[in-house]
Amino acid sequence: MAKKIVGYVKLQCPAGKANPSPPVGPALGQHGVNIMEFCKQFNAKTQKGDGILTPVVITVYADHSFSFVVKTPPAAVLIMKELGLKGGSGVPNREKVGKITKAQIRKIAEIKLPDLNTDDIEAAMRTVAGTCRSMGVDIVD
Amino acid sequence: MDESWIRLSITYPCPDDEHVDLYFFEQDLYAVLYAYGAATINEQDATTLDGKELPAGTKRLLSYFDNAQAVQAAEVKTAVEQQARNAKIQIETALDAFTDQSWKDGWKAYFKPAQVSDRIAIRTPWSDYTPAEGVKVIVIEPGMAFGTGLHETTQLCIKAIDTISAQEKVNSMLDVGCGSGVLSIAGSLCGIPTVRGVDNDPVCIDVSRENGEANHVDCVFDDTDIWDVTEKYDLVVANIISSVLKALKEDIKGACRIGGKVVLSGILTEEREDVEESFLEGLPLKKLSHEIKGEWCSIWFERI
Repeated sequence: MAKKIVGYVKLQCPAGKANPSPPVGPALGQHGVNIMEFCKQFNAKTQKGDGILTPVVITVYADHSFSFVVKTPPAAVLIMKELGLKGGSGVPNREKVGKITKAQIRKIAEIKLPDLNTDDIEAAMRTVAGTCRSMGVDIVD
Repeated sequence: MDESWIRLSITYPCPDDEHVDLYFFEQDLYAVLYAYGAATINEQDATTLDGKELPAGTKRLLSYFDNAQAVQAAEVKTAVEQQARNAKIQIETALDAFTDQSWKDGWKAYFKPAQVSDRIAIRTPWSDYTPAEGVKVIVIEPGMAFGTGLHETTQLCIKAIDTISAQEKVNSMLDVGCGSGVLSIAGSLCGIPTVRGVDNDPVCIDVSRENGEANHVDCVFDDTDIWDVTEKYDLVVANIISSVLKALKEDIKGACRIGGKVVLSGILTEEREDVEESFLEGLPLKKLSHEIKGEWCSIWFERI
């Protein structure tokens, strides 16, 4: 018989480097989830991610056990990493923070594709391009 | 030790298919938080356990900063508010002191004692357990160090220590990345006379020493890096994640005497072949076997 699900907890943790400090500890500990075991399993599964902010959805069961699904990093974070940016622009229409090529957008779209509600890489690229514009990143050929 | 944190809360309309601008605004929020070094974020909405009180269509991000980052936290709040003004999106932000410590103990009530190998069972100081005849009980206080002892990877290691020390005379054991010290204590209770645990995290050494004393075992724990260990051991166990195991492989193998055993754990089943191949390069080893429990496996080698 399937275990009874109590609910879900959503976190974003650095790949391979989750630790019990807040918000991980409070978010999981209050529901009886073993914090250190989550960190160990998350770090093992994301160890190749080089510390990038990685969303994870944790399912908490009635017996206080847990399972989790790791998602792809936010597009904005992937763009920052790809371009080596320290942040986006507060006024993206006037102040630009960088330039990105279509090949780089495709690379990020391919990473994001599993979590987008489309199988169409062109549609995924349009979403990533929208995030670039919102951050003040110019798209170049 | 009581710690307090500065908590930044950002509440904003939840992105959906009809409000693409909110999706992009949310991405901008992530970018700001990431840029200011907010390493971990808790996302709450009506579908999550901790966001049930939020109105439908509303989302909240929580990020925490330690007290030394007070200025940084205020800067993030200002940057986020500016971002919202620019995007013409209504948000609520708040900074408050987070002093609650109850989460540190919340999970402990659900820690169940268990027999993990032929001769070893584990319980916590707050749980009762009556072992079967001939079974020794490790009392472990996990604290904030890794390793309650009941994770599959730890169980695989304890089984290996128990089996190997029952089959042959093991005079010495090295526990690489000892965490809570549970493997070292298991080695000692299985009759291995000299047991040493090393970890590069001083918190783990403190917790290991406390656990060693509580179990009346004569293990030595120190924060020596594995590459500075000069002694050779009959048995070397390392329960770490596979990328670290691979990075330390020559040092782990080098700490084992010729004819001794090396046991690796903390390896996901899909990583087994990769770790195995990596360890079979360099200093010579012979693979003896591997064991699987859930998603995890251990690999046993002999140093040749």
